[in-house]
Amino acid sequence: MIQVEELTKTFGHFTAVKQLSFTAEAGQVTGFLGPNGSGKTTTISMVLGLEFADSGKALVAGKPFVELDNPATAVGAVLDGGSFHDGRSAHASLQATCAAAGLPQSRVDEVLALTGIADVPNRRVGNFSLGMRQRLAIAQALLGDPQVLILDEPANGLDPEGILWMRNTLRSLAHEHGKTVFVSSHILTEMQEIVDTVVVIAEGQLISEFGVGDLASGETVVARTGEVEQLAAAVERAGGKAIRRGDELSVTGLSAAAVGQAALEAGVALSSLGAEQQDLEARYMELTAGKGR
Amino acid sequence: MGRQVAAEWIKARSLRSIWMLIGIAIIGLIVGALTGLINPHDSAREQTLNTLSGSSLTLLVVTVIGVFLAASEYGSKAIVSTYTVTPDRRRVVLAKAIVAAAIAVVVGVLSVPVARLVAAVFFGVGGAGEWDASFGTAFHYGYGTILAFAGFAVIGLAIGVLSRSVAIGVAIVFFGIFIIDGLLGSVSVYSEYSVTSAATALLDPDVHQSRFPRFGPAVALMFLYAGILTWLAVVVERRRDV
Repeated sequence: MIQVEELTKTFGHFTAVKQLSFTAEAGQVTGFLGPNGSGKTTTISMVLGLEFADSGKALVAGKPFVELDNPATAVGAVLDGGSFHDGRSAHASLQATCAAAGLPQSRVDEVLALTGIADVPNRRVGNFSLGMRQRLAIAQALLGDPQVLILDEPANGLDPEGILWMRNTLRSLAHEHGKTVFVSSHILTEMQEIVDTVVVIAEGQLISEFGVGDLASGETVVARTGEVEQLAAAVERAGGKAIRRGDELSVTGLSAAAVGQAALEAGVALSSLGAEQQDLEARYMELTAGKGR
Repeated sequence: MGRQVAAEWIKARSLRSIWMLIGIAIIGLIVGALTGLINPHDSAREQTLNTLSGSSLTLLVVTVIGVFLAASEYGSKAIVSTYTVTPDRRRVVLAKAIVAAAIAVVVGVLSVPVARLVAAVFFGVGGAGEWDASFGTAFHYGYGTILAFAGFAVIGLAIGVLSRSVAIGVAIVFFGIFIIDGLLGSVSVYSEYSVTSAATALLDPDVHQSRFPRFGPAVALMFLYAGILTWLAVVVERRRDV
């Protein structure tokens, strides 16, 4: 379990993370979403003790990361597409991690096989493709069979087969092995397939925390018109929330009938009107509209 | 601590660049010994001591090895992996220092045999002079060289941690230690306390010059410089974001 409480981090006059609180539960895959520069990587770095918070705390398995007895057996992390020296072989990179964590060297071959790169153990990491590097980073994270996995953009560079493997692996680790899996990614369609709950941040602050199951009950109404601004105003007067996309308006909080009624009352002609099941991408866009740094 | 040292050793030995630097350090020993043999001298004893008195090039290279062991991790971001496995940064820095010192000790141990071998070949092919050193003298030069190399490797390591950049670290070593400190060493008040004077006294222990510290104080100075810089590196590293 990961608990983040009132975490704040500033760099000079810039507040990267502001009083951020959320929880990632064991047995679930938690997605961590936010626009570029929203503070995701800074938050993950603070959880892992790589950056120091100005205030607040981050606990992993009930303790600050730096106080864990043997972090490699408690937390596995994938950051920056893998943090490896280009001149070192995959095998040696993992051997060093095993030695530092007091793990048996046999784990190296096991995780290389598990992540599908067992045939290139002696190739230097600098000669790896982005996808192979990502697999190596995941291999390193799995070395200590940790209870908590923290992954920053783990799908970057993976081929379709690799993405499928990662999806199945992460879900299996959470649902069948009871591990806490915390994933940050920009690939929202992929995230919807993997995650159980979502934490959305923007400008360093928590915007929303919800279960992906809740999306099924949500509905987005899509209306097309040549008078988008007038329709958006009418929708908002009626209590809905509108996002403009060219001549299209995505509306949440109102039914299609209510949007039609609002358009009629405002004298706005519609060229089309329909309801769509809300997906993670739509919900995310709605939550973070206008909040990128 | 043993686990961290083992991990740092695996990291060091698995990089080709470290082996290349060790190779250059050994070439430096050969060049240093040859230079000592052909430099002007008044006696066989002086020629032998010149041959034994190590090499500035090797001293520079072992310092660069120290810088490289620390700073290359920041350039590649491998330090993130290191600290997510061992968040105790003090242990990581100390383990790196131990490995840097161990590599320097191995190079230092080779210094006297290499000097003797180079001299044997030199005399064997008709070079002028003869070997004139007892086992005690050779031993004295050997452990002086080991201490100087190990001290400078640890100093390099601390500079690597503080600078977090191989290029900046090497520049600090080259200009800060080998140029500026060397020049300041010509100022009599400072020369007895400078780190380069201490290294000179350790590398050439039987030829005491009044402006350099004697062997004992030089050992103490080397420990002091290496210790203070390592302490500073640990203190700074424990407070900095990665």
